[in-house]
Amino acid sequence: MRSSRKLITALATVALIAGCSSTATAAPGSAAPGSAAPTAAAPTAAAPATGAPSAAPQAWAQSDIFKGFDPMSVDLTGFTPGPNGEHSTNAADVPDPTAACVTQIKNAHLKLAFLNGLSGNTWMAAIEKGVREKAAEYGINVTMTAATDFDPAKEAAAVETVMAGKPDILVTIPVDPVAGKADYKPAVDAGTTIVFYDNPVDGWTAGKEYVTISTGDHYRMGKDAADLLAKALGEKGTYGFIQLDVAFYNSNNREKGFLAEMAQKYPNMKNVAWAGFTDAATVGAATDAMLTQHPDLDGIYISYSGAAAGVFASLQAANNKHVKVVTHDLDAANDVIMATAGSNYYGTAIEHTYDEGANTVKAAVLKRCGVDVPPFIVVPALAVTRDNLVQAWQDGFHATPPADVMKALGQ
Amino acid sequence: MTASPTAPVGPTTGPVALAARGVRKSFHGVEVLHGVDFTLHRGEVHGLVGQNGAGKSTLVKILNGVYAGDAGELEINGTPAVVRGRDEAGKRAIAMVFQEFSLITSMSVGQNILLAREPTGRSGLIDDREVRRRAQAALARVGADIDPDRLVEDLPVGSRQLVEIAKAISQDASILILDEPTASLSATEIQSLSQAIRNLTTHGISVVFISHHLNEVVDICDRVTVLRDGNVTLSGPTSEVTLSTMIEAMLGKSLESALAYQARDVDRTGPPLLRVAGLRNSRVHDVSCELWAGEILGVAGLLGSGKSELLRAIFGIDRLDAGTVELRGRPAHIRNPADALRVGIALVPEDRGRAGLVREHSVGHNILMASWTRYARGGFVDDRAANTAAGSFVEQLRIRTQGLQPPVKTLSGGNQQKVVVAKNLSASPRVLLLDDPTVGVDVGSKREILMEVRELAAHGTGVMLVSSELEVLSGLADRVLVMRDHAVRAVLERSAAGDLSEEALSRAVQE
Amino acid sequence: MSDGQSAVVPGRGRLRIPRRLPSGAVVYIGFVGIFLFFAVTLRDNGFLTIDNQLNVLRQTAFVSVMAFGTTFALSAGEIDLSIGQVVALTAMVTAVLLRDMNALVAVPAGLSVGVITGLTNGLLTTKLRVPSFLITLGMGGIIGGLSRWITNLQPVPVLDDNYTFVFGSGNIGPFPTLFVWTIAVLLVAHLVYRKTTFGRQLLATGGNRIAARYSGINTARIRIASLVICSVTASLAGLLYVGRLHSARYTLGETDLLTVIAAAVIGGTSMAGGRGSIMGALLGSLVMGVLNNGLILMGFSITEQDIARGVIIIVAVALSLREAPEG
Repeated sequence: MRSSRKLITALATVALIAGCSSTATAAPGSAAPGSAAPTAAAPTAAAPATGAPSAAPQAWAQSDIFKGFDPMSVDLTGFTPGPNGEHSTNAADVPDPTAACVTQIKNAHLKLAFLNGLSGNTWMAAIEKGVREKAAEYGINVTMTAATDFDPAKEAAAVETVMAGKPDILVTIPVDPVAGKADYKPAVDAGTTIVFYDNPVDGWTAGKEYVTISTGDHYRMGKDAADLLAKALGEKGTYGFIQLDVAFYNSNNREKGFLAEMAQKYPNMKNVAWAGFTDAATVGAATDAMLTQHPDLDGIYISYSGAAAGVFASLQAANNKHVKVVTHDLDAANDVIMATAGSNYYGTAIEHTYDEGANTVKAAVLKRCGVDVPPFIVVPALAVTRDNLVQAWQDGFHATPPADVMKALGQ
Repeated sequence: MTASPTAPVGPTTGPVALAARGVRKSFHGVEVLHGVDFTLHRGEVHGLVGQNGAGKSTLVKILNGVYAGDAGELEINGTPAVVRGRDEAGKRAIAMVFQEFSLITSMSVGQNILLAREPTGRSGLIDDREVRRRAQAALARVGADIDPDRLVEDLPVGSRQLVEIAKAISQDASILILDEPTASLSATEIQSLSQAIRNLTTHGISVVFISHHLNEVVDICDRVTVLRDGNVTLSGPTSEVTLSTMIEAMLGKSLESALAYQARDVDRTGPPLLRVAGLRNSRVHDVSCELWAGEILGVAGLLGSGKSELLRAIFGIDRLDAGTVELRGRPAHIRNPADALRVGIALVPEDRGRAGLVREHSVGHNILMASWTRYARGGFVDDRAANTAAGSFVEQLRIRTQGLQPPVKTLSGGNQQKVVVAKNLSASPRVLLLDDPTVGVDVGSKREILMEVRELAAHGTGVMLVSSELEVLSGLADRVLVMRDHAVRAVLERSAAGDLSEEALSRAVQE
Repeated sequence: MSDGQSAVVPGRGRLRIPRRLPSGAVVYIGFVGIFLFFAVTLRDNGFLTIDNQLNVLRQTAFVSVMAFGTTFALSAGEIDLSIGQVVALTAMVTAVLLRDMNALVAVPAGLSVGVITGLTNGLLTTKLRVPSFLITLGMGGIIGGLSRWITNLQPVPVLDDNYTFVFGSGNIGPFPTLFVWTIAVLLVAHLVYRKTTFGRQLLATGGNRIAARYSGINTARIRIASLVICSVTASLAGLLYVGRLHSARYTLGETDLLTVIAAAVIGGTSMAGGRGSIMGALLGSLVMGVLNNGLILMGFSITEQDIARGVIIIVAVALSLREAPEG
């Protein structure tokens, strides 16, 4: 009697949920991918999936965000273009402000507000360091920092709040290209000099609402990662592909650059496993599954180092010394593994995070001096292995590696 | 004027273990102890009685350092003492056994006795053998034959009480304060408790014995101190006091009038108000009975006889397998308490803390809990009407409270029970089910509750009164259902005087 | 009281915070204290400007509205851990329907996410007798998954200006519509909570469910209703987020749950049930909002902000949970 009631309740619930979900999903199938994600698809030729070169489907084709992506279409010979097709400029080619400009800026005692996209993250901290030190150079005060934590609602609040402090310059990493328009409106209305790091806001153009986007050369970070993995495995073998399963322009470009280089240059390397994650904490379990299904896997690519800890933990638990891992970015904990001779961690392809942070301030200064600033400024990528790890920390973060890394390197 | 002043103190029976002189204490500017003297001799059992709210608990909490007094002197074993907090009270050799059991029921007897003082071996781990040994020693001093390895939850209430005492004296207390230790014990359990207390006094331990049961006080204690409204109204050897002098000292009036049966005319010619037929579930076996308007129908039986369960079944708490409940000849389909209240049946539950009150909520909100919809228009509560109604119940039942606002938990037990009664009356029931309404209630409140029950019946409410106190049934009930083994074994009528005497009921229940 | 050594029944050498402040007074005092502190230290940094105060009102609207609902759930002795996901799913459903249809369809559909989730939470909790803690944790997973799946993790832009004006972006006179919504929901919630039979029965149910049942209260219905109210406020917050951000994204509301619960508890709502305050929840939410705002304007780094916020939240909750001594 009572058990039957429980059953009915359970069934009713399932029915409710099913009903709710079917109404909710009816629409997006028709319209979502195209209109909602123009940025993710920007450089992609709309080739059908069958246009892929290899007859055997690669595992990454399971990825929803990469549906229809053709790795042969990516041009890896130049810098990564901007999200709206902007021509990208090597930061080295951007002129320094003139002495008169510097004096003018110093006398103005400008206030800068910095929005932190991911507090507690090494990469973000290096950007902030670049911003702060470059600002100090020009006598600009960093008067406020606020966290946005990749949450558009927090971003809206953060922009409003710092605007109460009337900053002259706002440096930020937009969280969401769609919500950004509403979120940054107060700053645009106030005439603030806005410089974006990494991400765009849909429908806005450089030089108008904002000065420029400063970032790295993400396609060729991916390319460098592919070259590292190929070198580690002798240009043949199997690998797993673990991606941040979110539509972010830059992380998607790293992944695309990686897949493009693999497809264009290393026909003997086969992608046999794919996993997507939105929460770095789940990466370990995904790796466990990958190793179970492919015990003889040779390599793993994961699209950012912060999430790679799960991969290393999983390999260690499985006592797997064979798999070579390649990723992006520097990370104090992971780099200890790389520094240990013969470990799973072969290499990482990094951007020059500190310099890219500093470039935002330089762009703001130029703009305020009336100099035209290119719309998309990049710093070339750098391939890192144990051999140049110390130099990589210098180049990428303007810092020496943590003591543990130095110790593992034997220095 | 009302009180006989302090009775001559009996001869000193030994050195003084504890003396308090002129103790005063106020809460929120209201003085609740007006200079109380209290003397406890070594090896003595000293009864402390008084209505709830008379100041017993406050005095006792000052004695063992839970509260600070505002004025007065305190001496322990002849030395002036400053007692602060429970830990030092422990050192000062005063231990208190609280009314609400402090045992952790999921742990063993031994673990409880040595809680937070577990002996450890060299490894730093708890030495279970030593725990057992010490627990056994403590239990032996109380004269209790209980296996220290048993879980407390498996013990009967009486044994738990003994464990509680063993726990207290295992901390080397020389003064033991027992707060209503007999409230939930059976007669035989009270016997063994009394024996245990005697054992302790031969070891030189002094006992303060707080109880509402004056007979026990006379039986168990050497001396007695009576408090009323924060004053000592009587203090002397129990050999020199009688029940009626004690009651007088407590109340200034006697209970007897409340407990004398007053004949009532119950018209049984028409159809009954409530007809219960063939009620059956796992705990009530085929019970039928009838209740007429204006009648008080007693239900007697030992614990586990099914008497409380009968009320629960009628009120829709326990599911029925068979049987019908009719109200004024109409079937009442009762599946839950909401249905019961809708047709006019209310229940004052046995366990007021668990099932009767929201302890944190105000007196007013507790009284109105069952009747908000009556004082509402369009879903919105008319607070003025509701508070007026609640206020009139406070007056009617003489609930001692400073208005409707204080949390009900700040009231004494008796007044809390009156709140539960008031809550049920606020639903204007035609049938009122009362499950042991006077248990753990002070004499004054008991009197007032019983008077109210009588008053209700006089106005035509049908009352079903379950009570474990036979004197209550004897004094109130017009008829008594006797239950045993989940079924009705007899219906006793009051046709001649003495038919429903305590002796007669006692015999019927035990047979 | 004497303090000589041979004296006397002693005073307890313990500091007493003034006993029996009117219930919930702590949060008022805390709010005023924090506000005054920032007003003084930040007088030159724009804290006191009307614009900045309106910022706080806008930014706290979402948490306030959800804290009102959560006050209902907590007061009934329940908790709803799925509100963050309800925000996201409501936002996604509404945004998608706004694109393909119109607000007259999208808004009811969005709110129905809250109604359906709340009903499901409530029915499962009461019928299966599983604590709402677990049921809503599970529902959170289901709902969260649905909102990711709906557009495949893509954000959805909203171009309907009427919608965005009403829900979150517009101003009525000097007041942001978000503020108007907050006040409207506050008044309704306060009246229902304080002045209706439902409110009284809710508190009784949360205070002692058995006693409430013995008093003829349909406790199951009350508990279900409390969870529906809670979910619906989360849905409303989802609608407001869409209006404010002119878009929806599956991460919306993700991090709000703990802030919402903290706001309710700081406001004097008991996590054990039976006690609470809607006004208190508003103040709790404003305390959190003013704190975020002031700490940023003070120029603290993110790390310093986190630490300061943590300390103040602990102090605030501890103060508001402190109960008057028994006796």
